Amino acid sequence: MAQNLQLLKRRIKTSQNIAQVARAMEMVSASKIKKAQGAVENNRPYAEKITNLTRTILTHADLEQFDHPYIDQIDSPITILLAISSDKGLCGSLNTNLFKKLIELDNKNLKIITLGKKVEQFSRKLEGEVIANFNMGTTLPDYSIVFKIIETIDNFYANNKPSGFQILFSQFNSIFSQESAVKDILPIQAHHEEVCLPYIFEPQAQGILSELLPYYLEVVLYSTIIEAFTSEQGARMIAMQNAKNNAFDIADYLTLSYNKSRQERITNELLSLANNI
Amino acid sequence: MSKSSFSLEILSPQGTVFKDEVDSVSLPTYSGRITILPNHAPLFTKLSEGEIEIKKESKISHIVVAGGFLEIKENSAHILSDYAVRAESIEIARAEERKREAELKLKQKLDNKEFTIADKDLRLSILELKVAQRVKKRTRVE
Repeated sequence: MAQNLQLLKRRIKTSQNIAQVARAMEMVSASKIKKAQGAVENNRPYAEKITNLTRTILTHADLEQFDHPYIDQIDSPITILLAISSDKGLCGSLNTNLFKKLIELDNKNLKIITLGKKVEQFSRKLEGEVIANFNMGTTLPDYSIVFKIIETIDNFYANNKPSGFQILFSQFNSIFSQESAVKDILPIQAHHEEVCLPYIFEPQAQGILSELLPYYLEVVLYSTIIEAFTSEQGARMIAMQNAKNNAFDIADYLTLSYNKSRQERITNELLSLANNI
Repeated sequence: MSKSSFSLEILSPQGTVFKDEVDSVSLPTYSGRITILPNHAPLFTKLSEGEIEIKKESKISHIVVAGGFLEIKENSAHILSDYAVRAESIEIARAEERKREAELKLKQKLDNKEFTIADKDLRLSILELKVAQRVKKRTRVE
């Protein structure tokens, strides 16, 4: 009996420690998500505008004369996928959901670029070939990460002529809900809007487009990456909140049974004393 | 139908820098400085780094941009730039720090890519300092 009490006491201590750690991690994520959400919200109008603009301009420009790997429709079985996950675990079902989607997309002609250690480990088991790995980091990703990824994509486009480029990432709906989503990035689809006056291009449309397209890719990539980062923090915050609550529940339950068995022991001792008299 | 003002929006990855109805705006484009007045024909052009001057009811505000794109259609102008800052919010100390850093970097032997970045930083910080000092002087005169 005495040993049992000792054991209970130890387990109470353990679950309380776990709750404490979970609470600390929750608080870290809560402060990170604030910053990340701000960045996403500030970036959103800019990213949307540049997407719309690029698509509109593409309809106005004379594409016959213009050749760029980002807009050419190529018939090729090969596609590139950028899969964005977190570096660290402990973020609920976020990465698992992402991997499920990845398995659906997986085939021999898929070339994968990974961002985040978790998806890097997972991708090794897939049929598709991993062509580059990048790390997500634990703070809001820097803009310079985009350049490294684009360099990889450009090299691949130059040598292999893939038919398209997609991003698989966790879309941020709210702190409580993140969804794995696939976004088609390249080739850029022209967006036909109601006809308005033709634009004056200065310098010529070709010159502008060859500047605008890489810029478009940069902006879209970066906004996706920070959104994925926000999702990660959100998922972790909720996962840690649950973990903390569960740990406290267990601690409460254990305290109750500890008190009960202690009381039981005292009663038993009293009884045996009374019997002896 | 013609209006005497048009809407101007300046967007950067850090958020919306400027959004208002304005009378005119002059900006540095790829092929020289231009001034946009209301009811301009649709235009799409590249901006070079420099100073944007916005006039609204005889009030002038300044914004520093590091290149970008300008789109005008249906009497509204949009400027997309990866870096834009209002002249009033330029921190002189920080711009000077950046200038010093960029100069230091340029002195070292760098590869092509880093050189371009440092060079752009340097030019931008010099521009920021220039504009900030001009704005400061003007407010002192007033």
